[in-house]
Amino acid sequence: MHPTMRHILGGFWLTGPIFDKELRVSSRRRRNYLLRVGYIALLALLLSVVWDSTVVSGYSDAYSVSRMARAGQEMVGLIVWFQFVTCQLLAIVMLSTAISGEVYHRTLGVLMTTPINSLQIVFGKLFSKLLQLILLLAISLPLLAIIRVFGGIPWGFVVQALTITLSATVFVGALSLFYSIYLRRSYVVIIVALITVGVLYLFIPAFAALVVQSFTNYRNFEQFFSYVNPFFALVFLQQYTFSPGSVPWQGGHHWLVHCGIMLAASAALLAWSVARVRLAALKQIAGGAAAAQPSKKTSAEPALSRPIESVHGCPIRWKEFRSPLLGRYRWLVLSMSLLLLIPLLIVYGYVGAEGHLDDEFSHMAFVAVYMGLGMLFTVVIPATGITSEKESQSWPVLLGTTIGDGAILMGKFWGALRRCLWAWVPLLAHVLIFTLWPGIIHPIAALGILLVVSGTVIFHIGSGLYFSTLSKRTTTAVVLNFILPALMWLLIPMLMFFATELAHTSNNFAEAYVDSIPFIQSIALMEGGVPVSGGMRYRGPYMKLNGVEVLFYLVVTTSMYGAIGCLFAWRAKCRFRKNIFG
Amino acid sequence: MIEIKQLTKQYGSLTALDHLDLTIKEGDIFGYIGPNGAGKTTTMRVLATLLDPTSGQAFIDGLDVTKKGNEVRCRVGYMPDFMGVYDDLKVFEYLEFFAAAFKIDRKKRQGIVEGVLELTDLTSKKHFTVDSLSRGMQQRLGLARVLIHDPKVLILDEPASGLDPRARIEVRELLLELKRMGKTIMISSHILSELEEICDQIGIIERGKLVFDGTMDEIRKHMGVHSRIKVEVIGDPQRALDVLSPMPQIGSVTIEQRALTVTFSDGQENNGFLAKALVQGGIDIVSIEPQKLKLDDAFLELTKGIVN
Ligand SMILES: Nc1ncnc2c1ncn2[C@@H]1O[C@H](COP(=O)(O)OP(=O)(O)OP(=O)(O)O)[C@@H](O)[C@H]1O
Ligand SMILES: [Mg+2]
Repeated sequence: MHPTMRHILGGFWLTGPIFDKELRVSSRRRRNYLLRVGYIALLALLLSVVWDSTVVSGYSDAYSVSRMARAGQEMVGLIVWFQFVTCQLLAIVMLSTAISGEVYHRTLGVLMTTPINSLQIVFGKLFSKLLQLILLLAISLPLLAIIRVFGGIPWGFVVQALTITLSATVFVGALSLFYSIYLRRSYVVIIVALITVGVLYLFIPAFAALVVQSFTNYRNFEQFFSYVNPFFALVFLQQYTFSPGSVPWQGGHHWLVHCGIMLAASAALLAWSVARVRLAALKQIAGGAAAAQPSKKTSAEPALSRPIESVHGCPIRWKEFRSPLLGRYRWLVLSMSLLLLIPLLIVYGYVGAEGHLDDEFSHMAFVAVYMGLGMLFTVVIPATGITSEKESQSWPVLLGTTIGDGAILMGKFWGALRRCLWAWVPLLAHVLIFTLWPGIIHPIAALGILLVVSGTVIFHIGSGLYFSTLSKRTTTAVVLNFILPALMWLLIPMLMFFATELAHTSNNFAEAYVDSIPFIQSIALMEGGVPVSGGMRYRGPYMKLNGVEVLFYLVVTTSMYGAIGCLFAWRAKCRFRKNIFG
Repeated sequence: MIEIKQLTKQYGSLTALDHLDLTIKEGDIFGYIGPNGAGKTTTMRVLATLLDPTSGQAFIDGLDVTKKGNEVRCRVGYMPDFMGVYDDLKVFEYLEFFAAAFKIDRKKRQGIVEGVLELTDLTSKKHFTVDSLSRGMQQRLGLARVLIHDPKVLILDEPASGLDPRARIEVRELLLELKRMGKTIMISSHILSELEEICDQIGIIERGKLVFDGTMDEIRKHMGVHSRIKVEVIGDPQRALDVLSPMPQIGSVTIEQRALTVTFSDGQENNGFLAKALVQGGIDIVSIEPQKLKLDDAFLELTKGIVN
């Protein structure tokens, strides 16, 4: 065979040395093994919960056989969805450093001077991470095979679901890699990619459905979305496999078309990335920030761009407060927000036109979305506080001064608060407007929301600063700060219900715990406080309170979260001087 | 002023500092030399209170660096080998920020910052953002930052790297000026000949151990090659060799092309007798040139170049 041919067929042109390097490095990282163990543990846990809740022993054989089949379906469904969600999340996180990491370590420019081409860089990064994800998918295959024994699950479903998951993973991975060319900070890449996926998967379909429904009688847009949206594709696949009657149109090869579309979209993103990598490298060579900011202001006429400011008060806080709120991309962020405001207003208009504005469910939905947004930013921003100093190597310099650890902590705290508060503006604005609009949100509920938000904010900032002190890299800190609420507010409650189910005891305690979750509280507040005419009745999973009692209860939980946040912050302060040089 | 006792630092199984003992007198400039990975940066980090040693103690101005962190930081100006700069601050703001971090009174800050800018020749750059400075200028900015709180002790990790020849000389002048102001300076460098001229004391470290510590003169004595003299003659150098080698004061004579390299057996400085002996032996001299022992030679001879 001709050597070039062999090269091409051997896949060398796609992978090459970068791929090798990534694999070698990833096999040295302990966290990759932890990830696999964690993945399997979580999956096993979820499965046992499903098993326990569907298969109850003590019934007749015939009954339990059909139960088995039912449990089998549910468990396969669970595995499939679990894979679908985790693989995409992991792909976003893993590829968020793909190009920005090389720029950050100043290796991209070096790579460009070698015969490695952009194609190999992009595909080497993508494939090495995908390989790890495929490994994760593979370790759950035996489970799928076992569960299939229960019957009622065609192989076709398993294969199709895996293909949909894989193509969706390739797509979000390509998206994350694409953003990592333009954005220097990997946590920004993660946020932007998550928001993009949220908009693509949920907001656009919901909005389109709304618009289409209000103008036409067309009701089958799910069918259209199942071609371009993996979320819908998977729902659709599950429907026509397990309850064929519920789907009005025929499945057939629809999943293949869907995966083709997703892969084509990924290919487009990757092609664009390949084309841009070289430019990113040139920028890095030309000198990081200076070149990334092509405005002539900074270099040519530095004196005119901005007057020198005098330091006042605590120096750390001063520095935190004088950096621009939205950073370099403020115009982009502002215009994007304005752009999103238009469909948002349309949604409000639609809800109003349908007469749902004084309906508690619409407010529960709005508050849930806004809470999610606020929490997303509040989890991410504080976690960058200390690691950004470490990454820019200014941390030892700062600790070499006589500035107190307490002052550093407070400065960082205020800085983080300032930067994440604007993410709460939508929630607070919504609540404020509809409270002042008489008859919609009860003032006690509004106050309650304020309490819930302040507790959450202090909690996330405290833990964020703590993880930021522990970690060397920002991305690690951000991921840890996501894992904490996921553990506290998802996994632990689940375990609690599971345990009470097993022990056949009352689940009062578990319900009371769920009641203390800020997200649940905010939704319960809306349920109980809309409309005003119904009076204030808070109906949490456990707590049943009326009127002002709610506020007392919320003060207690808020101070609890505040205390935990402060505890974390204090631990962070104690650890400042440990392991300064990693 | 600086006292290090049995200092040991281990990174896992690697011993970066191995029972190091070192004393630096007040007002001295101490040159800290060693091959890559010898442990220079590690020592300096310990002294700057940024790294806890595995065992042993270090004192600055009589204060234990592991216990009296804040007092020590008041007295020490530490300039790391790789220094971070905040990319969104201007030069003046950057310095004022650190002045504030050292709790310098707000009214005095302006004057102090102007002063150190002047001293490091950065006044013309004070409106520039820090990341738009060249590497050498950032290095000078680092020096300026170290001086901002007027510390008694300066710990400078390779301050001259990235500086152009003129700036190197300026830094040398600056260090001498600071010495005159009574500061104790510990400086590590790879440019050995540069240290030679300004250092009162030299320490050579290899694999975490001090292999030599003393003044330049002591190094010369220690090496036993106190004076090495190059003699160039007209005609056959072998004849000169025959004249010189029987003499009792002469340690060794070797021939390199047309020149002889002579060392003395005892540590004596005076080489006047050489010329006399040669002239009496009927040999015409082109030149007699005493060779100073360069720090580079001492460095090469004392260290084995084993990378830790
Ligand atoms: N954070 C660390 N973790 C593990 N080993 C380290 C760490 N920092 C330094 N070392 C090791 O300690 C030894 C001494 O390092 P150090 O930085 O003090 O050397 P140095 O004399 O400053 O070298 P150079 O001249 O290259 O700056 C080296 O072998 C290095 O590999
Ligand atoms: Mg060093």
